[in-house]
Amino acid sequence: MRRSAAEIALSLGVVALGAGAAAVSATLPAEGGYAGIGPNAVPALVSAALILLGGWLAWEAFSGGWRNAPPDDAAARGEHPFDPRAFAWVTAGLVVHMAAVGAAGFVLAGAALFACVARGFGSRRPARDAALGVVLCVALYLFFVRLLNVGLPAGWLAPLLGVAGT
Amino acid sequence: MEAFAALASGFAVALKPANLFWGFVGVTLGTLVGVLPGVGPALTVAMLLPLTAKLDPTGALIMFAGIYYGAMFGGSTSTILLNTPGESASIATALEGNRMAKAGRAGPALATAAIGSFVAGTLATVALTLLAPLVVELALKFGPAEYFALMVFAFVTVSAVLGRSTVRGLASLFVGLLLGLVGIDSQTGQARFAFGVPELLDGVDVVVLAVGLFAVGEALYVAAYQSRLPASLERLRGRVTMTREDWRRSWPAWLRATAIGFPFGTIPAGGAEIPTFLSYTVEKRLAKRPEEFGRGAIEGVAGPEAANNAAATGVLVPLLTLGIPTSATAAVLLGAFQNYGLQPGPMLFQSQAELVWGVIASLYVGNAILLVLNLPLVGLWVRVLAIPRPQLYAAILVFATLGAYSLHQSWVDLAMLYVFGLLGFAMRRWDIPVGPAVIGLILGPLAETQFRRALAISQGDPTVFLAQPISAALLALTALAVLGPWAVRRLRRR
Amino acid sequence: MRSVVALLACLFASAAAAQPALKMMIPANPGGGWDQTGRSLAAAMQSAKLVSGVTFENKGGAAGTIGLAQFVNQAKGDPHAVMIGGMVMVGGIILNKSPVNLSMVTPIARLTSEWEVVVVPAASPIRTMADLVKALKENPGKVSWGGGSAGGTDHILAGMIARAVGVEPAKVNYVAFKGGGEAVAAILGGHVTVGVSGIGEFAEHIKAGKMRALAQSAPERVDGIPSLREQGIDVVLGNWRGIFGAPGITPAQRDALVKLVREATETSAWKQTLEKFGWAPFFLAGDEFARFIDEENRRIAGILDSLGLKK
Repeated sequence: MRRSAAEIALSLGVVALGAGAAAVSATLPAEGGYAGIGPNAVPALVSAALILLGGWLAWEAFSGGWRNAPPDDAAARGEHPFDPRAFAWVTAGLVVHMAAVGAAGFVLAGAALFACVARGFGSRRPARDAALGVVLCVALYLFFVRLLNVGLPAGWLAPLLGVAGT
Repeated sequence: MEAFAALASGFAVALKPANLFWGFVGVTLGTLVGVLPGVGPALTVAMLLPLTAKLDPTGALIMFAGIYYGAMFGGSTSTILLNTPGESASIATALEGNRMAKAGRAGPALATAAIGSFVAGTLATVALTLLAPLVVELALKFGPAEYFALMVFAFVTVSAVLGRSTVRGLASLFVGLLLGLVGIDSQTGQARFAFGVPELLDGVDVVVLAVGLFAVGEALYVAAYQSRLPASLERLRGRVTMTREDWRRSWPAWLRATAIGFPFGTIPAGGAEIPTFLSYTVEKRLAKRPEEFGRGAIEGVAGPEAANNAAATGVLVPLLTLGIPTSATAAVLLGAFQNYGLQPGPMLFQSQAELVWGVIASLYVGNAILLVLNLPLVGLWVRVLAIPRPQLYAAILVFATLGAYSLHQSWVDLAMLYVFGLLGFAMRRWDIPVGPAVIGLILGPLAETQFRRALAISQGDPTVFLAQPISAALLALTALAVLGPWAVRRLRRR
Repeated sequence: MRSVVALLACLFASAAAAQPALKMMIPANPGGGWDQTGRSLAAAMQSAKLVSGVTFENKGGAAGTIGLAQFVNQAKGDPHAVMIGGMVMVGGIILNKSPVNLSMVTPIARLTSEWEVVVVPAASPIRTMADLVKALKENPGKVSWGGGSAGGTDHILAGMIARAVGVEPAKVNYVAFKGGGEAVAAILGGHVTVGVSGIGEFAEHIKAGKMRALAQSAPERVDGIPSLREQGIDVVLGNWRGIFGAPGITPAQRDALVKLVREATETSAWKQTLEKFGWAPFFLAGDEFARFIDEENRRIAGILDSLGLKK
């Protein structure tokens, strides 16, 4: 009989999400004024539904696997097996961008993101990718900041780019 | 017929070369900002408001109408090509549009979106011309009880997006509902599920969720499972124009979607998200080949796109006749009117008839310019897909992060984007549909708020939903939609 | 054609501009009242050549407390940094239990006020404020009040009126709507008994006879609408907006900013702005403004508490 660890983990994840939400709901006030329905009612309902649905998913996972699930064998899906390095490069790009955008600025963080993601997808020319990223982000930056007057962080390049203003 | 004479003189104004020029500027600019996630038409028009000091009213309003329609179309362009829905009204388009692009049918997808937007926009403008005063009377009858009934109806009908497994679809829906609870409770000001993070007090933005699930999730998935496969050129091979078959399948969808979108736009809390999803559902239900849905069915693009534009035009009904802005863009347009000392409202049609009809004429013109400008560009847009995969996905993620970051200028939104990306990855791998989660996030807070408002007004009396005729009728319709097919099946079995 | 040139000029010219003289934090997204206040004030400063330039940062969300938190943390001691804020922020800080508050920044000046108006649909049996008070005293639950977000200015006014006429504020049946438009529709459609909002929001509907104004919250009569005070309800409440300096600036630096803002509010550009948006001038500078905020803080905390919102 088919049994997938991932499906079991996801099912229990839904149960855990519902349980966590139920715990938070319990701390919310029940006082609902004239409506009689406080801010805790819908959260409690949604939490309960999540726990039930998670249980249902878990039951499916233990009794032959989720119904109509895609094949576990990557080749059967027309794909290659999980590539941890590609996944890690894309993740690294997003995390670096998240950490750097405030200090280093939109352009530099964006260029780093661009280079990392391209690397994850198999590009082998990091310098050219970073340069492309800089060009794209400078164009976006100028469009936002100069035309729309929406602030984006200039960061370390502030002296070169200027900032939003009239 | 008075309306038509007034409209004719409105056209005379709108078709002046200078005004056409501003129309072109607006459409171009609108398309550009629509393509970028994070800047919607509202923000663009807001930022260009100072221009009203330099332009005459008709020119400026034609430009703003151009931006409005242009941004709607631009949003669908990036949604179809890159799977990054720039605004909530484009999310339904992502379901089939991007699948079509992957199958080499980006050209027809963009074309049906452009032509459908034009058809729906034009029909809706005609409806606006003829029916505005009538429609608005009806729209005002919608109070909290009616809205709640409408939400229940929407919930039940969009269940068609639940996918191959009901339980996985429901799980997705309820995760979306849970996300919709994050933030300040509208009726009591109580913070829920915010955990002391100020960025969470405003709730989870639907664009962050959609871009995270669709674009970031897809980037992670393709990197993990497909990046080492030889690049397929299929996405470029298809023809750019619509076939006879495409036309045949598109036009009924456009018309149905107009009928769904326009009324939704006119009711003060309607919005464009619900009609786009409703249109998607209707098309899926009526399709001769429903199995094509999920693999790039053209009706699934034609419908939502037309519904979106019809709703966008419908929004102008309460704006022009009552001065009630029912969307962010309408609120900003209201500001533009006020800059000229015009106050939309019950008196506008009398006191400023010339300008109002000028605006309505400029809507027709703006729509036409949009089509003229964008249809020849479809072939060019499709070339975006010729960018090699590493750089294409890198650019998609730059756009995706830009959209999330511009919300609060905070890394917290980027962190949410990544978490939703991981979720989108898992959902794609284990076949959990993402549509229900997005619908849950959009509909959940609306339904809860209207439910509690209705009960507060009735002082806790739940019969209020059955006592009001519109709400009772909607609930009956919902019951019919649920029980009808079941009853028919039971009868047949006998 | 000239406007195209102007558009392109804004695009590129400022890239080479000199060091900015003033950095303005607007703790709201573009387009709203604070944004309009900040940008109009900056335009007034520039029209009178009081500053060489102003740069803006919009950081919206959570009633301005997200922008406030960043301003407190990053602008410390910067004599050229200012922030827009107002009454909504005072309530937001209390309701959201914000870790930062207005005592951490340096009050410069209060600028404007938008007064609130109480309306009923034209067809309502309630004709006067006295009718409303009577209905409220008879059965507060039957009088549903439609207005903006829970705990916002409109809700606070409803609570203050109830308290002034001897009805427990927590008994007010307040129905919160999102923004002005939704509330207007609910009032015109007769779905709520009374509506509360800024005068500007309802003015056109009052003029058109679709809504009847019962009272407004200024100290005296505005636009021919009697004040609450005139009708024996001792409540004055304005949605005021003001400007703040960075934490930890010296008194001399503060006085320089006060002088700058005072001069800007005396320009004709600023006066035109007030007229255009229908804002009442409500200027108050320096220490007096600081005392006003303290008072406002206590007053709003008190009313939020009695509304049952402050936990």
